[in-house]
Amino acid sequence: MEDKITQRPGERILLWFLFAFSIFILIQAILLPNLKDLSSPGAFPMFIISVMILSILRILWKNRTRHSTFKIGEEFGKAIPLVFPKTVAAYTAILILYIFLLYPLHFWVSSYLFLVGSFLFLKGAKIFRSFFIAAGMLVAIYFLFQYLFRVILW
Amino acid sequence: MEQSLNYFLMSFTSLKMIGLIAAGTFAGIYIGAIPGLSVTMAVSILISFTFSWDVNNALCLMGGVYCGGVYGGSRSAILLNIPGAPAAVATAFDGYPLAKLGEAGTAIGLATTASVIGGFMGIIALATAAPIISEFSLMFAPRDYFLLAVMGILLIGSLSGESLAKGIFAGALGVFLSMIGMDSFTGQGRFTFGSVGLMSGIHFVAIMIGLFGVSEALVQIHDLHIKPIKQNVKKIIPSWSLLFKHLPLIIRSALIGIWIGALPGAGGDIAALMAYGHARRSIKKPSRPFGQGAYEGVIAPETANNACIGGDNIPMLTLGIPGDAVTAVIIGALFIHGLKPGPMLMVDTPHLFWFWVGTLTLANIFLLIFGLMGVKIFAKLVEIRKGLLLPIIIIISVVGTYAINNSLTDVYWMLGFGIFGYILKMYGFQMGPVVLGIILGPLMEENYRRAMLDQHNNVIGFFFQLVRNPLSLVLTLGIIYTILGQTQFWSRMKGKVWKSKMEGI
Repeated sequence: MEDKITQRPGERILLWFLFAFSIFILIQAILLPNLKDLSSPGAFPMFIISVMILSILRILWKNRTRHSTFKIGEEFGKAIPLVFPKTVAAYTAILILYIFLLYPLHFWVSSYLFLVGSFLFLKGAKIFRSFFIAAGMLVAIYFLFQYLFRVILW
Repeated sequence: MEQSLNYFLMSFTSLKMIGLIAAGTFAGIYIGAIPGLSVTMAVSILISFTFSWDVNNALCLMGGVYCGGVYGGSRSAILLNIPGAPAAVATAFDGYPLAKLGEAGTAIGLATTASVIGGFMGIIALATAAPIISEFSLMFAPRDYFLLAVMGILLIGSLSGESLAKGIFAGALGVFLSMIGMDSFTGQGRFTFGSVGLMSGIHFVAIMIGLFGVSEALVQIHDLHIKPIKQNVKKIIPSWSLLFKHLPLIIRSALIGIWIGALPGAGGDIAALMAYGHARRSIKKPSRPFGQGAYEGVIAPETANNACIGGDNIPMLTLGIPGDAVTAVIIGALFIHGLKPGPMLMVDTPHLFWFWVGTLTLANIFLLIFGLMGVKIFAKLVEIRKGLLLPIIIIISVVGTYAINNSLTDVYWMLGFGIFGYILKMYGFQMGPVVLGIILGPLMEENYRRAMLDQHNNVIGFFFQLVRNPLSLVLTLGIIYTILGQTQFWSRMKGKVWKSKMEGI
């Protein structure tokens, strides 16, 4: 089944990252105190993390021939346009900015700016409609969530 | 018996509950139909909003969204050739060709009636099988629960993605995430890195909303410019003769749906594809060739995916093992409301079981009403631009995550898991096993440790029990088969056996 899937640039980098992460958490599990028998707090995590490591090794082994054509540097360069093409990368940046502006600007202001910016960026609506739809959306959110679902938005 | 009937009819007698089920079903149809919105996403976001609600009201809303959402996917599959949900993929094979032939109305009408009949059959199966299985499951030992949870994750991992190894990794990652925080046995912190905030773990709803809401929105940006093709919708209600003619197929497809749903790890998408395959094989003279607008190609998958709802609920309510990602999310909702799906649910809270069956029945009735109404307005609504839809999904995800604890920390976790989930998705990792792992992780660990304590931490004794007890042996063999069945070694062995059989003939 796996053989039919073409190689995706960057997969090797992700797999090695997941492998390194799994090794790191395995060490953390081993370092957990009171590891004296098979029902102690660290035993089950060690078992599960070992499963993670083995499955990653299995994928790496399966993919070993497919990855031979790329060098790491080349692969990284090709992975970025695949996973984060310009639109996705820019929108992810907008999203991160929005989430981190939630605290200083509060929900209503930051969400309004995010909605207007997103509608314009994703070409969902033109300028005036964007301002109008974003305001309408926030009014709907206010009535639906703050009034009906009793979510305290700040 | 009388008491069970009273609980069953409870939602029928309260105007508020009827209203909530109706609203949920109506919203579910649209959520399921709009490409980019999924039932799993909607239910996971809804959990956070219905936290403080009375459990019955919360279940009414979620039951409605669940039933409506599974059906709703068929509408966009027929009208736009874009399945609104994975369970509607098979519907598009013949539904869209029917729409191109000017029969979109008939296709929607058939899909609706088939879905409702399938849904009712699934509910009957749930109401009859669940009490029996529940009684049987009282005999399960902790090791059997451990094995069942492992099997559930393995099955969903093997069926939902491009490789078993990726499915296993995703499931194990979910189990690992569920272990972050305080150990329930000893109170000791695990993987907290000294952070007090992490002692209570990462809230699974924040992870779910990130994995199903934000990551899906990012994936959808790739197809931002695909424009749907508009359809004319005329006659919707199908003729009785057409329905009666296909009744045997409806019954067979419903049985497939119930059976697939009852298997831990297999959901509506597999049921629909299997029913479609069955229709192709068993119908010698379809109304048109399959793939070119055969009525049978719409009826079979739509019956199966809605019948699957009842089937999915059997292992969820009786064993605490979700059938698919949506039921995994619903299990999470039940836990939040202080209920524990599993063998004790029918003993401790039988009213909840019958109430849930009643809710699903009422949701199916509303499905028939809403399914045959307002299709013309609907055809316009599903054409909503993704540029408008995606930011709204994100805002609702933020509000939903914040509502869990009124904390921005959960929102940061949601963002992190959203981006991480997106990257994993781009490389063929599925999110279903991760969520199933998070939900089943505590159950798995708790029962593993109990089983080990039963054997005084003797690993040989533990393995000996797996072989000695018939039920444990069946489950162990099931797990071994699930793993071996995906390997080349198994394919080769199967090939050799087949070859020797052929030579024998």
